[in-house]
Amino acid sequence: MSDLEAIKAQIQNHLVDSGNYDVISKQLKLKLYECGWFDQITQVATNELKSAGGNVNFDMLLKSLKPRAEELVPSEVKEEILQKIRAYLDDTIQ
Amino acid sequence: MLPATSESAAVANQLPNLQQHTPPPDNYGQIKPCSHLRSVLETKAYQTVLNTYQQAVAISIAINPLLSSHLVYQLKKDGLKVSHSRLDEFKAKALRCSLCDTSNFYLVFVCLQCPHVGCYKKHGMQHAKESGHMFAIDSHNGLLFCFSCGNYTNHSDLNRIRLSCVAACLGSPNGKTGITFGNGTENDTSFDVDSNIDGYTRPLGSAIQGLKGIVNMGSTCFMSCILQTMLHNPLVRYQFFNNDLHFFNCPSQPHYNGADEMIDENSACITCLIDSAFKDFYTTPTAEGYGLTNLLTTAWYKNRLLAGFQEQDAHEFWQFLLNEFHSDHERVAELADILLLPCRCIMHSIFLGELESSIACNSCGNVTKTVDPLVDLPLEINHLNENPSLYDCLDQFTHNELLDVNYRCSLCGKESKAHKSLRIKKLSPVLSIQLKRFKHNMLLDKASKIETKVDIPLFLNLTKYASDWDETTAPDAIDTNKVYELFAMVHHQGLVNTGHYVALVKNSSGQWFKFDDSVVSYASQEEVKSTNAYLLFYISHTI
Ligand SMILES: [Zn+2]
Ligand SMILES: [Zn+2]
Ligand SMILES: [Zn+2]
Ligand SMILES: [Zn+2]
Ligand SMILES: [Zn+2]
Ligand SMILES: [Zn+2]
Repeated sequence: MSDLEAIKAQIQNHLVDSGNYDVISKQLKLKLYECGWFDQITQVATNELKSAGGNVNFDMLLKSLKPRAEELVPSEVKEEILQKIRAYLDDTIQ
Repeated sequence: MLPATSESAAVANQLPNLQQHTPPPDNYGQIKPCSHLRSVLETKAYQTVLNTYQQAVAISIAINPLLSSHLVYQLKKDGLKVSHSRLDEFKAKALRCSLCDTSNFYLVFVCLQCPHVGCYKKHGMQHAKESGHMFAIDSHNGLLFCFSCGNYTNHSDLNRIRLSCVAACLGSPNGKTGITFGNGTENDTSFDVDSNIDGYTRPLGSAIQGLKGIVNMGSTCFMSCILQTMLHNPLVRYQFFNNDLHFFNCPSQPHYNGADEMIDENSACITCLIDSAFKDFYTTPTAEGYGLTNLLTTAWYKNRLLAGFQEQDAHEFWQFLLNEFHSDHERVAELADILLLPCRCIMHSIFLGELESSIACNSCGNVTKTVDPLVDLPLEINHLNENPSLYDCLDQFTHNELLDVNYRCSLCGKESKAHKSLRIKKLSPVLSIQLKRFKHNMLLDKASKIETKVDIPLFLNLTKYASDWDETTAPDAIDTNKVYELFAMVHHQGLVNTGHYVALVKNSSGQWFKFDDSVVSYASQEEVKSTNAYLLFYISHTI
């Protein structure tokens, strides 16, 4: 494992173990629900499945949805959550 | 709010909290086994696969964020409850990728054939390739993933294990949790909808979703829109589809089912009427609009209609339906000699919550709390800032207000100023909100309408409006059990007395529909967001 990866893993585990991950992910999830993102993605996925007529597996569906799903996240939501992660990092890393 | 007696407040206290016992439903049972899984299960490995699956699925349920709030864990030794933080610690340790040592935010694949745990993005797949272990359990949803197919796979035997694990964790004695696993898929292989069954006419495609308009019979839209919000309320629908008590015991049934017998003063029954409407909406082979004749007749006997609904207010009609559901239930329960408490009628089990009001005495600080039944939240939209949102209305509703009359304190005995505030003590599975757009001027005996546009969130976080909100230590915390999903909205357009009502309803895959009397059409999320709402219906949606 490279040094960078080791640090990443360490931060991730701290984020999860400290309970901060649960807090931030809950806030993100609520924001995505509130702005209608979940419903949008559900529909995109449903339509994709319908038009593929059964000739699509999960891996393919995920591959085609992921970039679009990320794009559809409103920039305010992205910025707000990034802010929270930054604040967390500033607090924990000297 | 409905006038409700203190008796019904007592009833509400004894009601089991439906929310807590209703984990989100899933339709994983419909996923069919792939050829790989089928051939493995045909070998001697069958029992081993089932045993391993059971262990892995138990862990995955333990970490499922949708279920975790419903779960109570007990230590095997002494039966003590395990706190959620201890559980978090445990799951972070148990579910770490064997290769990169991260918990990958709880997204890992647990190998079915060896103790390997692999992260989603990389090492899960890598392990499958290198070792040829083709199946792993997705820690997020408890489903089996087949790496050869690149797809989730399931089998009725595995699904049964998964569901019984969920049921066991939720602590329901017979493994049945009612609403949760509604579409029984255990013996789904033998059932074919297309086969010819005597007397069975295949319902129209749209009927499966209950998409049907309602014919306008002259200013009846205030009823039609409410009917649509009831017919597309998943919990109300569930109750009606499982309403044997009423079906077998209400003497009015023949009057609504055969159509030969006339509805009269003694046989008028709203529950029977809605029951037949459900049947019509969800099984009909025609696209013809639903006729309101029986509703008008029934409501007339019940309410001396048109006298009772002079204002033709949709909210008033909604209250009327709820009251009828309760009194029909009372009547039939008595006939069937069934215990009435706690009342399981639609009003009590689906719509009724509790509102707590606190009055704080300004001279001694003593707080007196009273709890009242809460059927819906009536929110003022006057005196708000520009471009208000529903949260502003809720803030105004719950804000600490100075009473304009003096208050006699029971503790210090003084008569002094006091502050009053309202909080939701118990949330019902469906929360109904009325934006008070209609004002009646008593002096002029004239009604007027407020057209202020209120921004309506598609999901509503009610954490800080609940009486158990912890303002000082965790003001920003989100209680995932207090998040609600907007699934229906009633809109009033035009002037007070000549206006028109339309209902907007969302289906289970996130598509909105507009019900305008007999016309049903698609509606976009933007259209819903820009519609000026009058009534809102939110359903509990744990996130
Ligand atoms: Zn890994
Ligand atoms: Zn393995
Ligand atoms: Zn396969
Ligand atoms: Zn009846
Ligand atoms: Zn009742
Ligand atoms: Zn006092």
